[in-house]
Amino acid sequence: MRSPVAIICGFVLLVIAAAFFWQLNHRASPSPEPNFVNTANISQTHSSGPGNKPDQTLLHGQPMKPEVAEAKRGELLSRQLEQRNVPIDFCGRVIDQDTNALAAVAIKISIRHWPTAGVLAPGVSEEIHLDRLTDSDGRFEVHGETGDALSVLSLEKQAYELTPTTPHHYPSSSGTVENPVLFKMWSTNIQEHLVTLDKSFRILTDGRPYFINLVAGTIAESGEGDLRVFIKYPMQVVRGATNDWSCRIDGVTCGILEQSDGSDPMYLAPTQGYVSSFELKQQIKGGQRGSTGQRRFYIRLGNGQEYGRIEIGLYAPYNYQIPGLIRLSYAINPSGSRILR
Amino acid sequence: MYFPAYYNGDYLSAIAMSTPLSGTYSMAANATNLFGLQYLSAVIAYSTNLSGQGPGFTNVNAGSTVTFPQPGWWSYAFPSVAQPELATINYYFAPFKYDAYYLPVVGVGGSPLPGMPEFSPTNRSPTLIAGVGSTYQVAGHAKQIILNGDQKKFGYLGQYFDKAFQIDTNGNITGNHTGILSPFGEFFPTEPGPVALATMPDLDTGQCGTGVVYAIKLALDVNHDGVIDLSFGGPDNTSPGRPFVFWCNNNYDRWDNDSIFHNQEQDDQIVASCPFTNQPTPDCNYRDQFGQRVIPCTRDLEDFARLWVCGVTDNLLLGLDSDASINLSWGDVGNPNPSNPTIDLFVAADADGGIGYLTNSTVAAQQTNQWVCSYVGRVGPGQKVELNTVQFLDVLRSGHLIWCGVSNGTGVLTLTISQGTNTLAQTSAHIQIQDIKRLYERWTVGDDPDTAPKNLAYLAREGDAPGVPPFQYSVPPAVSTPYILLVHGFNLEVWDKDRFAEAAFKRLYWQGYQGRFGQFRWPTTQQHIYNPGAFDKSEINSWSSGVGLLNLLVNLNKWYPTNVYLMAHSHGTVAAGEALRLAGTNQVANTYITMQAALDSHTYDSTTPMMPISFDTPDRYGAYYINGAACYFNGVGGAGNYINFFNPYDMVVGAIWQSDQVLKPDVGYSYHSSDDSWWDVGLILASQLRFPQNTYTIFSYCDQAHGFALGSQNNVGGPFRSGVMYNQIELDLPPYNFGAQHIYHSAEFRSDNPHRWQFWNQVLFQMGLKP
Repeated sequence: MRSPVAIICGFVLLVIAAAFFWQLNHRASPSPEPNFVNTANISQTHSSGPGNKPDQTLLHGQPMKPEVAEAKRGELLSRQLEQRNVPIDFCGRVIDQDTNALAAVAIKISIRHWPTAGVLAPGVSEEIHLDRLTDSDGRFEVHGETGDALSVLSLEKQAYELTPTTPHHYPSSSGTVENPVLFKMWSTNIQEHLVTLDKSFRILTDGRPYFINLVAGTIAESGEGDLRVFIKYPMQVVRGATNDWSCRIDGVTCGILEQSDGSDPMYLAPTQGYVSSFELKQQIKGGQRGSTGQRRFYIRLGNGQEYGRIEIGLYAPYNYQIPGLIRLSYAINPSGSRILR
Repeated sequence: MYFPAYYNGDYLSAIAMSTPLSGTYSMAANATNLFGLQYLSAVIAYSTNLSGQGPGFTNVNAGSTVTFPQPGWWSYAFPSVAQPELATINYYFAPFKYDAYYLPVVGVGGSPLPGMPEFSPTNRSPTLIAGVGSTYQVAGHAKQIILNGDQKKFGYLGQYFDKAFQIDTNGNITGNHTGILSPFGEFFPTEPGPVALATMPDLDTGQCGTGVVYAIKLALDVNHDGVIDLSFGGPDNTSPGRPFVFWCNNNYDRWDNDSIFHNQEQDDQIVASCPFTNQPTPDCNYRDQFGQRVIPCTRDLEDFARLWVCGVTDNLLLGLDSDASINLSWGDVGNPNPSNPTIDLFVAADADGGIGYLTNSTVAAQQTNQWVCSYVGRVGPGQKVELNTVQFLDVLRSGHLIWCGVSNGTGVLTLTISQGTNTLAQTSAHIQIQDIKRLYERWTVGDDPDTAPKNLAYLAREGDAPGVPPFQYSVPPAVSTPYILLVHGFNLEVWDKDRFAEAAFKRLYWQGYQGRFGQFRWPTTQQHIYNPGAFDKSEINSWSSGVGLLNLLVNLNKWYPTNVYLMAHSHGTVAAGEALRLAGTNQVANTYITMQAALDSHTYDSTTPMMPISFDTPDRYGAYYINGAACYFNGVGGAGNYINFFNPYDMVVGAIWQSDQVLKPDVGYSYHSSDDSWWDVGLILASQLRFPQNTYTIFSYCDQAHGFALGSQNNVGGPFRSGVMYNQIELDLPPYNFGAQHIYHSAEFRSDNPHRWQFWNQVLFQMGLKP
């Protein structure tokens, strides 16, 4: 006959064993595949699907100490980042203001590269610095490196300067031979006298028109102006309730032509394509600010007697005190030249 | 005036009379008095008897003799001279001061006036210098010659004053009135520059005199709007009750290696030395290897303010004697007042005294070049800096300086122009230097990453002197006073949190921000980003800090109703987003700006692109917390406007954050897709994690983000979309040009103001605080 003590001890052992196996079951994925990895497999787990993910609490099937697990996490992180490196394929071309190729432009390039695990601390990138010189067709290319971002740090050629709106950062694969990333440089000798203004006007948003005189830099509800602008949005709204928001910019003495490419410096006004107005209608929740964002237009005044560029943003409400705001900056060449630089 | 005639002595000879015979009186012909005026006649008055009764009169003309009817009796002669014919040949203007008996005195700012023993007709008008905003007493005299007398003797006719006119830069008197001028010569200049004081016209000739007063002023950009307003009563004037408050330049702005990333960048260090001492040296004492006081880097320029010495023109300088002194002091030279602050002065790089040193990299580089913009000197208690030297003559002419605080205190910076011991003029500005930690609020829910954040934020006190209560603003001056609250990001020690906040404070200040500023600190971990455990622990601490942040926002709204503005960086956007979610429909922030947010964009908009990786866990950020549900932050209303400042090339939220998501679930956690369950494996027993009660744990340690980080993603909808427009600012594009290196993840706090002011300008515009 077995003693009760032995029975109790056996029962306790069974409970402990059951708990142990239950734990193992819940540590692992429900996938039929074992969820353990060894260090040799770590680098291959990046794009593993569900069920193949490394369980970082275990190494060779054994629980790891926390510091070991953290070190492994660091290594895994490095490997993850290393896999962000892809071949750099960048094709660029440098042209001047007249779209002529610019040869012998000195270009400094930086590539963000994630080194192999263990080379640097995990999570630390290195910069690969390259120099390029454009060929007779203004072209330059970057190949044979890997990384996840490319920065064009500078372009230098005597008597030329890069347009200030040029983006400096690009994905690892940008431009092709047929369609290279264009960098436009302007001769520093081309400098026109421009009439400029940077100003904000506070307006009411009941739809009343405002006339903007570009020469005087003034705004008025009546009289003459080059642009007529209105915003229509209730000045009293219920928070969260949707309301109609509309605005319109009319060229009174000028035509306008929107430039949506933010990288274009708008240094040369086109001759055609101008329209008489810009309009935006949307619905805004009470309490939110509605706007056009800052939009850029070429303007042609007096049927081509003068050209300019204008950046204008309409906001309503701007804040509690300002129901409507026109934010305006422009440059007009009074000489009649289309050059706006 | 009369002369005794009964006594034939010098008295009568003084008026060209004599008694050639007893009982007769003669008056010489063509005799003149002291002023060259001819004696014409004299009336002799006499007593008619020996008792002195009378009088009787007799007259003697020049060139004649009369017999005196009562010789020997008491008599007096009253001469008559020709009326002077005067002509004004010049004017004499001089400052004068009264003594206790209201008598003009010489010295202490007063000059000799006609009639005073110290005065000589050869005196020329001294240079008149007056401080703007203080009364200056001027005396004016027309200097006249005697046409019918001795033309080497002059008459001085006191003048009444009429009007004060501006003098333009070419020295021409304009028709523009300036200052306040009484007829008696009390002049109150209201703006710096030369002023013409015109006398009232002469009644006979209409002739007017003009005295030039040089009005001088020390001018500051008190309201830091970029414009120094010189007008009297304008916003840039100081007073004892409204000093110019500025911070002490006691931090350590230096070039740095960005830790292990090896990108050179200017930053605010915990401590740094200077080449001269190789000892810990704050910027205000930085010296080069030769011991010259220099500005360590362009970043340090955001700790400098402008000072204009106005009205010291070439003509003023020419009018001073060679031994004249022009100096800056706290007015306590020889008797130091320890409560006065100490400041260091440098020549300004901006030719027009503008703010190019804060906004233009080229100017900033010149400003830190000691060969271009030299150190002028230090003004501390009892000290003065002499400006009237060959070295600084151009400085005086331009009048443009920049300065920084060296030690705290409150004092009256005084420009004194003196000649010997005689103070000719003074002008002053009230300045208060404080530690920057006494200029903004530091709220925290705790900074120990191993301690759960508190639900009520309290004021931090690191860096405050013992016994000094932590800084807290007084009651706001107006209900419209704005308050900007900054929530920091990951991997910052306490001092670093403060330095980031201080950089934000300073750069907002230089954008003209007039409101108040505070930071919200939460217990982020202080380990390197490659430690995923630290990163994810920081995340859960940030989620858990949402309650404390919400409570702070609610409290701030009691003081600044509808005018609390929230901005959060990196991991801080977790706490900030959660606080605004917990606010429900209660708007606790006017505007919320996310900066390089380390948070799944799907929490706001599940339609943003998915990361190109395979996922082991479901997207509970985009579908909270069952498939098909709305995103976690769906319908949030804690802020009126949400703006996303993002950089698609950001290293931290674009690469490292993504990789961290790939590695989830973390050590000790797992997800079972079979029953959509989340587990904390535990040391012995596993426990199931459930939504919503374990949301923070699941998000931080278990659930992979499916979308890109908000801080690298464009066109995020939800609250970031207003109408057809996305409220976003792309930071990799001009004019911001944030790059792909690690330094750019926190670029707005790093580098210098010329490179970063556009960012902060945009922040204020988006908040509706800078139209």
